[in-house]
Order: sequence, then structure tokens, then C-alpha cells
Amino acid sequence: MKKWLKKISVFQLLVFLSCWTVLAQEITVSGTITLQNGEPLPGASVVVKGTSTGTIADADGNFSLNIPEGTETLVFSFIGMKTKEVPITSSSTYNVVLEEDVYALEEVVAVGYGTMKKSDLTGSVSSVEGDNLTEVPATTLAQSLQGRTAGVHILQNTGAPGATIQVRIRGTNSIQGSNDPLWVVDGFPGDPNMLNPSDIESIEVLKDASATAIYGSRGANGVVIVTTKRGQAGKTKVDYEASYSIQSLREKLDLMNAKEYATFYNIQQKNDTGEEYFSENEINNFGEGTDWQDLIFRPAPISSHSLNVSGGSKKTQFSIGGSYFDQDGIIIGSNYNRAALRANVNHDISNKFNITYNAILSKALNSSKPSSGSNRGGSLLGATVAAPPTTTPYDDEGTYRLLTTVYPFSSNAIINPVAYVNETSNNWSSNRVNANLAFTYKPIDDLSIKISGNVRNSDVRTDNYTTRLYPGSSGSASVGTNNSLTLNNDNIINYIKNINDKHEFNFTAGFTYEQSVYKSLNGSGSGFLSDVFETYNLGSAENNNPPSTSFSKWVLMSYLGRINYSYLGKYLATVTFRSDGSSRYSAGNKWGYFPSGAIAYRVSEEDFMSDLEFLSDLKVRVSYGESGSTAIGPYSTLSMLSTGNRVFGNELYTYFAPSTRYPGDLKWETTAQSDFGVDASFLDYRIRFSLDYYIKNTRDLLNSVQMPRSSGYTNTIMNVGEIQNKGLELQLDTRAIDKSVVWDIGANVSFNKNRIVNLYGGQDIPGYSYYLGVVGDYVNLLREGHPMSAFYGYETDGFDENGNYKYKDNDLSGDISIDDKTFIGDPNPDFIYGINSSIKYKNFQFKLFIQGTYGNDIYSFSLLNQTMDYGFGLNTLREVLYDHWTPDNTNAKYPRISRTTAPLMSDRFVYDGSYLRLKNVELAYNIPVKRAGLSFFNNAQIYISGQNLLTLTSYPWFDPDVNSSGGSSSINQGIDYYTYPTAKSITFGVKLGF
Amino acid sequence: MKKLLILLSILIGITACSDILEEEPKAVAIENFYNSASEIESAVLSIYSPISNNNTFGAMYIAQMEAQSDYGYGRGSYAPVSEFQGLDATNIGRVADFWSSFYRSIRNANLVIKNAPDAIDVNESTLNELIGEAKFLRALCYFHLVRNWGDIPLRNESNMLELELARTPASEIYSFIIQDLEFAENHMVESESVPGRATKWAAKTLLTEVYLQLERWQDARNKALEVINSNKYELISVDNSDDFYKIFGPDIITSKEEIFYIKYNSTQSSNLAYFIHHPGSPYFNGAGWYAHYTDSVNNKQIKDWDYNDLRKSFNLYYYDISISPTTVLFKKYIDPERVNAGRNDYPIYRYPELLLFYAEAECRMNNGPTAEAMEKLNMVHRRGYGKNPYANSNVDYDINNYNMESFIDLIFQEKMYETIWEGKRWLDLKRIGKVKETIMEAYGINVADKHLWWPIPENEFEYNDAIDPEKDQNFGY
Repeated sequence: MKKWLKKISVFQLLVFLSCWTVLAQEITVSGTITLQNGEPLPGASVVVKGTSTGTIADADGNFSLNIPEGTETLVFSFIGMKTKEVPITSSSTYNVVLEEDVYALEEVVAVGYGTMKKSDLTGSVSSVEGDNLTEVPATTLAQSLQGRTAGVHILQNTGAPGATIQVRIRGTNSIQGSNDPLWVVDGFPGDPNMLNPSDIESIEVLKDASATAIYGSRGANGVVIVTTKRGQAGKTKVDYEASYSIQSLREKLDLMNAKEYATFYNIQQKNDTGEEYFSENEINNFGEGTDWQDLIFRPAPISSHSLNVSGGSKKTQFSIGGSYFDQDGIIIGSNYNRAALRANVNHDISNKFNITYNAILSKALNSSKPSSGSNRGGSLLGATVAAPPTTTPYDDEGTYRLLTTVYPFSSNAIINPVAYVNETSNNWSSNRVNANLAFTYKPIDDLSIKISGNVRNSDVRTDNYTTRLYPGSSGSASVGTNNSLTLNNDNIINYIKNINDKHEFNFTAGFTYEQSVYKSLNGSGSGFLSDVFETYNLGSAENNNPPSTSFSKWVLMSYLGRINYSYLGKYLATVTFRSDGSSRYSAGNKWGYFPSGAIAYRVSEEDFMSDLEFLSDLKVRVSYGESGSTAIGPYSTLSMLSTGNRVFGNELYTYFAPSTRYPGDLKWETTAQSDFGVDASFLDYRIRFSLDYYIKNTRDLLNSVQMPRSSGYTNTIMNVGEIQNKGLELQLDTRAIDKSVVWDIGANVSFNKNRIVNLYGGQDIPGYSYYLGVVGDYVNLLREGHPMSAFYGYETDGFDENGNYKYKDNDLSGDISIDDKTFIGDPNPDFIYGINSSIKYKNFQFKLFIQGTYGNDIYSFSLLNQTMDYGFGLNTLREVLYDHWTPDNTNAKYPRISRTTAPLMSDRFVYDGSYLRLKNVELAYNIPVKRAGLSFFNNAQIYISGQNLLTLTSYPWFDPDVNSSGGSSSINQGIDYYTYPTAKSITFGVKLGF
Repeated sequence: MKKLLILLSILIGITACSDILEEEPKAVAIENFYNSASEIESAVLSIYSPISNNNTFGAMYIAQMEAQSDYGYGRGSYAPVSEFQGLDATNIGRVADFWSSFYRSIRNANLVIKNAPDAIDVNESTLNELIGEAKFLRALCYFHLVRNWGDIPLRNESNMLELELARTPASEIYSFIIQDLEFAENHMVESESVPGRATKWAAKTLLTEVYLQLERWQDARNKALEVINSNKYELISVDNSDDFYKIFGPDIITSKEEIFYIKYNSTQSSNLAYFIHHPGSPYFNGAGWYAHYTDSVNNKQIKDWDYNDLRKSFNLYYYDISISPTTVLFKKYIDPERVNAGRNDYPIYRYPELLLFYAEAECRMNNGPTAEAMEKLNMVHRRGYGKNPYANSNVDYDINNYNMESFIDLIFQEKMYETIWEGKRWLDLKRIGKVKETIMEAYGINVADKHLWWPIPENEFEYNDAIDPEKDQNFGY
């Protein structure tokens, strides 16, 4: 258990204190600090109790310390170990064995602008270890968090490598603004996607207002604090980890073969035109035909490597490392790879000054195959599942077949998916830097002043190219570059005041400044003489679109303060305050004020509780606070004119006009959150239990208010809406067996109920209106009293006498109109959960990780498109052929096969999206390096694991973990629209320590 | 501790100045624009944009009109339009987009008309030219709105931001249009700086059609005559059917027939050709939605169309889309070298139409065809047959064979041949009150009353409390 990172501040403090010399009569004590198994503990600390006199053990665990005469007790401690107090006797040798502290009550966790002992926390903070993050190979950190901790709902928008991940902490707060949490990387707001999960030491998720309010206007959606790996004094350690995975499509769809296809379209043609299209002879000659899924999907590898070197002396500690991650997607041509280099150096200049430098450089490349959306085969996945099995990708001359003209009834939108994967490319590359320099000055013992600066720079370039071989293309290229530069300055003062060993105050105050500038340049052209240019010769294009450039800047400055108070470690209180000034808001609304307060009571510290032997720890917590959400982009309150162009003659002329959004007078969105929590441990911490109940009310929600279209504007934004989230989170960790077999099992479950309290004038807010081939309508609706993004549509009521869907006439008007629509589903889960189990026996370890959601619905545009659109020669599921309405089969699953079947946005395509997934199963073997004579290794592990090997779900398309239109501010939730499917994989890996 | 306080106060002192939080975008805003002639001009150009979009004049508005003609049919989602029984949800959505586009252009015009007069350094005639152009475009938008929706909210420069605005009776809308056009024809430029910018002649042509709509025959005839007498326009001679691409071809920048067109090129292209072609045809480089089609045998108008009329083979080609062996598709707009979509311009007013406006007004004014009226009709007719438009020919109609009624029928027949796929037919039939009769004759379909007026979009009355969704909606919706 390498939890040293979390104790870094304590550690620094100790190192620092050890430099103080005490002018008194001294004696020398020495000894060795070891683990229970006799291994030395380099870096463990020894301190004279109640003083700052101390030292740390060397590489062999030995220490030597001068202590004042009359010293009574030495305190031995090490990160992840139980602290031990040893009374001073006449002996001068103290060999001390430290025990592993599995439950890490003394652990220090990162909180906003500082750290805290876990036992002193008054807010709701959950931690995830770095080790857990690398279990499942993942491109993004957010993916690795799925199911790991209560209250954090991770939904992957698609299964594509590098795809965006939607993160919601304690539900959805905002309609218009981002619902993403604030990511803080090594102390500053940062970009978690720079990092490979193997670069991470630990993650803390701040959930309640007492924890997040210190982040003021950006805390409302929760805060995720990411800490990268750190070094510690002692022997230099070299750790190398590598893994290789093979992914494959979880499940192919059961589509019609060529013969069935021809049979099917004869039925349709007969129904619609009166004549069959294929002759009996033709049908008999069709066999299986082409399975287009086999031409697009492939088994695909992931490889991952990381190297970390760490160590240091009393004055200087370092951690330097590099990592590389390379994932091919299961759709041909898709790939994501990233290399990250990292360095962290911490140095005491003197006993008053400390300097820390931390830098991350990251290079990522993503070749994507945009696959989702569209209808009648207009997208890659849509075409893959809709392409006629009776035909092939290439015609007789070897050029790509135009699938629009295969049959007279062929869809005019269908693309050739093979041509698409081969002849189009979408490449995104980024070079990102995140560097911090912090300078700490300690004029006196309990006071520290920390001034730090952070530079975060991101250079992104996108290159999209369609070759001349792609049907209908004469070569088209577009290039975009953008740069975003964020500068931060934090000035934080921390002062600790202890009164009579009873009252402990910890004051934090500070001023921070952050500014961010974004610039972009885009160009495109089409009509190239040769494909050899790709995107690198836009000037030679026959048609050049005018280049476009943009600029935006925002500034945020803040004052913040926090007081932690502890009385005998029993009664705890925290008060925080932050004031944020943002450039984005209207004059007069620029400043927002975000207070919070929390109290906690460690009942188990009371004398009257000491009889309860089974109870190791019991703490109750209550907090209330307000935090904000930025919600709008720069310049949203100005009546800006945007540029466009229009053809006159044969040239483009520039014009200026307002956009379709009328600018409003805007201020912050504010979330007020109350949290009630209980943390309890039993049986000497073998059972640890944490429960939180919260109520979050978000007010002044930025609400897109529709304007009558005759105004020329589409909408404006006002601060009017209100949303409430209520929820319950449970986390349970136990050591079920603690013998030669050690079995740890943990589970978390989170319930969240979301309700829209108030919208502007009670106006509904419909989601995006999707134009599917056979339906054009919205499906998500925001209405007062209902959960966010609930599905709204018609209710089917069997088939009519012609085999078309009947719908319920809910308003009893006699006909079916929009007034018959009702709520037909809810994409928000009742609860989400994760279960984690680890069994260790001798050198073997067996791990299981299960994760899932319950009670959420999926609206499947994929299935709607695939099984209802009959007039256009699209392939469909095999079951449609065998179970559709005919006069003889009126109780069928599908309607009559006719292009006149005009389904509505109905409950027919609402599916239960609940699933339970065996996310990871792993068997690891720790090679006994000493016994095997591999003494240059400290440790060596090999493992084999499987990801997504089992998924229990009733959802009949590729995968239930899907959210095609997800995004930080998307209200179009729970939709599956030809989404890139999730893969399953088998992984082999090694972990070596030198 | 004292040092600490000093440090703190320095930190706070540095940042007390809150100018840092003022936004300075590298962009212009309404409040500081419309000052110079070039700024106002760039704002005037913005009026052209919304209506030029592919969801309006860039194709969809025309596609909507063409699906409700007596000479062709919509396919797929346009098929319900060709049934003349009112609009289904998809098509209701489409016409709602037209509404939004027209009103967005109107907003952009209102901004110019409101703010331009405050400009400091612009001389009055330049200012009036630009305001005139804005008023012309505003009138054009209202003219399309009022003919399709009837009574509509009248948004002018003074009530732009009033959320609640009731429908104004059509008659008042027409008065407003005329008022705008009178200003426009008096102040706009004589000749355009670049093809595609409206001139006073465009304003006069629009005014002619407005007068026809209002049955102000003499005003219409006089206005049309002003345009004819300007001698700015002439008919282009053709020898064979492909010669019509000298007028409609994708490479044509302008022609002597152009009174007012919406322009497209290879970067900002129109979807007109997308709607009419099959990807297997040679006319659109492997693309096309063949969303519209007609039939050379089963459609009476097409069947009766004389093959000697070069416009017939120019406009139509056989293509089997598995509906009938005699299916024909349209090809007024082609772009065989298509890169994105088509480069074809959309003609809002072409000289032949103005000539037919004149012929109609002159005839109605005189309660029968005059030689002048007949000559203008014959000019268009001759050219269609590949004859010299300005010399008598053997295809000329004889005035003696026509009375007022049959001459008017002749004009609209000629106009159908001339302006097929220019989105004119439906509104023409509506203007002369012959929608039901014509469609009954062509297809045996009784046009539903609800098909005559498009519904006020849901996103208008939902957010405009002055329009009641029950009381104020058009019939049938």
C-alpha cells in the first residue's frame, strides 16, 4: 500500500521540522524500522512526541537521532502504516516494527487548497487509489472512475477510443451550462485527458458543499482532485508496468442474410407497388451474401507502458516518469495514442523556504471514424448495419460501389462503409503542457505562505481528409488549429493555532487569479488534383473556403478563506468562503459569493463509547453551502455581431449580423447543498461504512428562453430555472477474511432523484429534434415536476387493421396529435453501483470488479431506424422478417412491411437500460523475487485480466452503456443513435519494481 | 504578523482594480456598429443570408412549392404535400423553418433601418440607397410570408423586441410592403455593384407583382412598363434546348435576364440540383435525392407540353426510379462538375416573368388582350421555341383568337413552361383563385382547405402570447 502520496504534506512538514536544532542536552538513539515481514522501511519517520525534533530512516530502514534528555516518547510513522508510539527507556536502540494500516484513518487526503487528515474531514470526500485506475485499460481518467466510488455517474458517450466521457457527480444541476465537475490536477484546474491513468497516484472526489464551496463558482458540479505520482526520500525506486490487450466486438447484430434480404424486400415491394422485385430464381441464388459487420469491425490491440523513477534525500524528493498508451479501436482505422512525460521535484532550500516544480507534457493522437447518427445508412455504423447483404463493397472494376443505386428503391443517403473507413480520415492531435512552480515560505513554525504559478498550454490540430476515391469526392480537406493558454496564480496563507492541546485552528486564506485565452484558425478546401497532398496543400484546392479565426478570453479572480476547528479531535467544524469575480457576466453581476459551513462529531471519541468494543470509529457530519456554476461562455452578455458570408457575383462578401440568440443580463447559477453523513467502522476497522444523504437545490439556472420566431431570434438566456437533486450514497468496505487468505470486498451504491422545480413561465424545453428517416421529432423533454431529459412521446396500442401502429388517444380527442404525448421513459438511473472484490492467497491475487446501473431507460434510435424504415432497401434485424404483421400474424413484434408505415416517437423504442457488467476480472501472480533469485527486482507481478466479459442486460442493440448525444451540457440524454460499440477485451500485463 | 498584513494588503491592492473583469472581445457589437457606409453595407448584406439558406431559397422553399404543382410530384417526405390535404409533421417543420428564415432576414433589415440613420459620416444618398435595399428585402420577405400564411405579425424597426405581437391583417401587411417598396424604388441604385445585389428595378418588379396581387392592374402595368423601358433587360436567344444553360448553367454569373437572383457558387452552393437529380444521372456528379419527379404520360401538363417547345427537353429527362417507366426528372439546375452542392442561382425575378406580368396587367386593365400584351407574351413564347424573341415567328399566338379569359389562361400556361421549378406555380394559381380547379383537373384531387394556408409555427404562438394557438391558428391546424 503506497499511500505515501497522500501524506506528502505531513511528510514535508516532518522533513522540514527535522532540520530544526534544539539547543539542549542531548542523547543519541538509533535503530531499524521494518515491516512485519522484516523488510526495512526506508523513509519512515521518527519524531520526539510533541516536538519537531525528528529524522527519517535511510535506505536500509536505519535511523539515528539526537534527542533532548528527558524525552519520554518517540513517534514512529510511515505512510500507510499505523503510527506507533514507543516510550524511551534507558536503551539507546529501538528496533520498531510498523503494522500496515489497512484502513488508513490517519491518511491525509487532498482537499481544496490544502490537505486534511481523513479523520478530520467534515465534508463528503471519496478517494480512489491509483492502482484501481489502471485495472481496466482506458483512454481517459474519467472512464477509469466508472463504478469506483459512490455519487459519481460515468457514462461513456460512445465506445470509440478517446471518446468523451460524461461525468455527473450527484446528478444533473444545469440545463444550459456544463454539468462536468471541476478537475484539479496537482493543485490547479486542469485537463485530466492529458494524463494516462498510470500517471496518477490518487483521486479525491469532493462532493458536498463544505468540500466544494472553496472552489466557488466552479464547485457546483463537484470537484475531482487528481494527484500525480510523487517521490519520497529513500532508496531510488524504479517501477515499470506494461500491458497488452486484445479487444473485440462484444456482440454482432443478427441481421438478415442475402436470401432473407431479397425475400424481405419482395414483401415490401409487393405491399407498396404490387409487384415483387426479385425473381424466385434470383432469391434462390442468393446465399449468405456480405456481412458488412465483418468488413468494418476487427479485433484490436491496446498496449500500455509506464515507467516511474522516484526517490530522494531529506531535502530533495523527485518522481520522474513516462507513460505510453496506444489503443486501436474495433472499427477499422480508429486509434488513440498518448505519451506523457512527468516530473515532480520538491526541494527544501533552507528550513524556511521550499520550492516545488511539477510538469506534465502530453502528446496525444486520435484517429477517429465518426460513426454515429444519421438515418437510412448515412453514417458509418448506420451503413454497416443497413447495407444490402446482396451486394459487395466494390464493383466489377474494383471501385467503390455506390450503395445508393444498387436497387431502384435504395436509400439515397446510404454511404459505402468500406469506402468510408478507407478513404476518410479524421485526425486530432494535441500537445499539452501543464507546469506548476510553487514557492513556500515559513517565517514561523505554524505559518506558511505559498505562492504558486501554473501554465497550462494546449495546442490542438485537426486534419480531416476525404480522398478522391471516396464516391462523389474530388478530395476535400480541412485543417483546424487552436491554442489555449491558461495562466494561474495562487497565493495561499496557512496558519495553525493550537490552544492548550484542546482547540486546534487551521486558517487558510488566499487570493487567486486565472485567465485563459483561446485562439483558433481553420481552413478548408476541396477539389484536389491528387491525394498525395492530404491536408498539407490547401492552396491547391479548386475551391477554398475562407479561413476562419477566433479569439476568446476570460478572467476569474477570487478571494478565499477557510477555518478548520477541532476540539480534542472530537468536535470538528469547517467554515469556508469564496468570492469569485468573472469577466463573463454582466456588469453588476460579476461577483458571486459562496459560503459554506460544516460540523462533525466523532461520537466514538467520547468516553461513554469506549465500552463498545465492536465500534472502532463513528462520525456524524452535517454540512451546508453554496457553490456556483459558470454556465456561460465569454461574451454571452454582449450583443455581438457575428461574421458570415454570402455570395454576390461569384465571390463571397462578408456581412455582420447578430446570432439567433438574444443576449441576456446574466449572473451565476447557484447550487445550495445540504449533506448529512455518517462514517462508521466496526471490528477494528474491518468493516467500514459511509453513508451520505444530500439535497441539492440549484437556482438561477440559466434557462434558454424561447423567443417567438418572428422576432428573428430563436432564444435568449435568463437566470430563472430551478432543479433539485436528492440522493443517498452508501459505501461499504470490508475485510471479510483476514487469514492466510485475505478477502477484501467493497461496494458502493448511489441513488439520485432529479426534479425540475421551475422553468421560465412554465415553458417546456424540448430536446433536440432528430430527423430520422421515418420520424422527425424530439424525444427528451424538460418539464416542471419531471426529471431532467425524460422521454416524451406517444404510447403505442397494438396494430390497426392495416398492420400499422395504433397510438393511445390520451386526450380523448378522437385523433392522434401532439396532445396525446406523454412521459414514456426516464434516462436517469434509479441507482448506480460498483462492487469490488480482491482475494489474496500466498502469491496469488484474484480480483473482480462489477459495475452497473438500474432503472434507466434508453431511447434507441438505432433500433427505430433499423427496424421501421422499410422503403429504402436497408438491411434489418433477422427477426423483423420472421415476426412482422400480416393478416395471419396480427400479434407480431413488428408492423406490416411497407414504406408507408409511419411510426411516431413512441414508447415502442424505449428500452430498459439497466445492466450489470463484469467490468474486470483479474488473476495476478506475484513472483517471489527473492526466492527465485531475481534479487535485482523488488517486486514482480504478472497478470491476466478480462474486461466486459459479461454484461447482463435486456437491451437488444450493441451495448447499454451508451449516451450518443451526451455532453457536459446536453439535455439529450439516454439516446442510442448508431453509437460506436463498446468492446470486450483480454489483457496480459506485468508490473516490475527495481 | 505585521509583515504578513503588509503582504496581504499588497496582494489585495494589486487586484482591487476590477477593470480586469471587463470583457474586450475582438469583435463588434450592435451598440458600436452601423457607423460608416461600409459597416452599414455589411449589415445590409446580412439580410440576404437567412433567406438564401438552403432551407429557404437555397432549395427547400422551392421544393415545397414544386411539390404542390399540377406538373410534378414530391417523393418521400414530400409525397404528403402532393396529396394537397394539408401538411404532415415533417412538412409543418419545414414551413416553420421558412417562417424563421424570413423573419430573421426581416430582423436584420430592421436593424439597418433602425440604426443606419444615426450614422455620422455617411452622405444621405448612400444612406438611402442602403436603407432602400433593406426595405426592398424586408418587403420581399413579407410578400412571401403574407401569401403563404395570411395575417402575420408585422415586425418593424420599432417593435423588433416585443415578445407579444398579434397577427396583423394581410391588407395592412400589403400597405406596409408598398410603403417599403415605394421608398426602395425611389432611393435604390440604378445598377448593381455586383450581381445579386438588388436594384430599384428589382423593387419595381416586386412592386408590380404586389400590385397584381392586389388587383391594382393599372399600377402593375405602369410599374412593369418602367422596368421594360429601362432597357436594362433583354431575352437571351436560344437555338437548342441546351442553350438554356446560358441562362441557368452553373457557371453563369449573370445574364441580361436577371432582375433579381439569389446567387450561389462552389463554396456557398444551393441544393436545387440535389432535389431534382438521381445520382445515376450525368447531371450532378453522382449525387441527388430525386425528391421530385413527374411523368411524361401520366401527368397531363407534361403530356400536353409540345415537344417543339425547347423548354420541354431542356427541363426534363427520363429516369427510371421504379415508379413508372415513363417517369421523368427535372433538370433546370445541373452541375456536372459539382464539388459540394450546386452552383446554380435561384431566380427570384427573371425578365420573362416581368414581361408576363406586363401582359397580364395590360390585358386585365383593358379587359382583353392588347397588341402590346400579346407581343410581350409572344416574346417569351418565341424564345421558348428557339426563335428570335424580337421578330414575328410562325409560333406566335394571334390576338384575334383570344379574349380576356383565354388570354389570361395562355399567360399562365406560358408562365408554367417558362418558370417550371422556379417555385412560381402554386402562388400564381393561388393569386388567380384557380388552385382547386387546376388540381382537380390535373389529378382529380380535391384540395383541402387546410392546404391553402400554412400553419403558424408552433414555436411562434408558444412564445408569443398575443397569438392564441386555438383562435389565431390558420384553418385546419
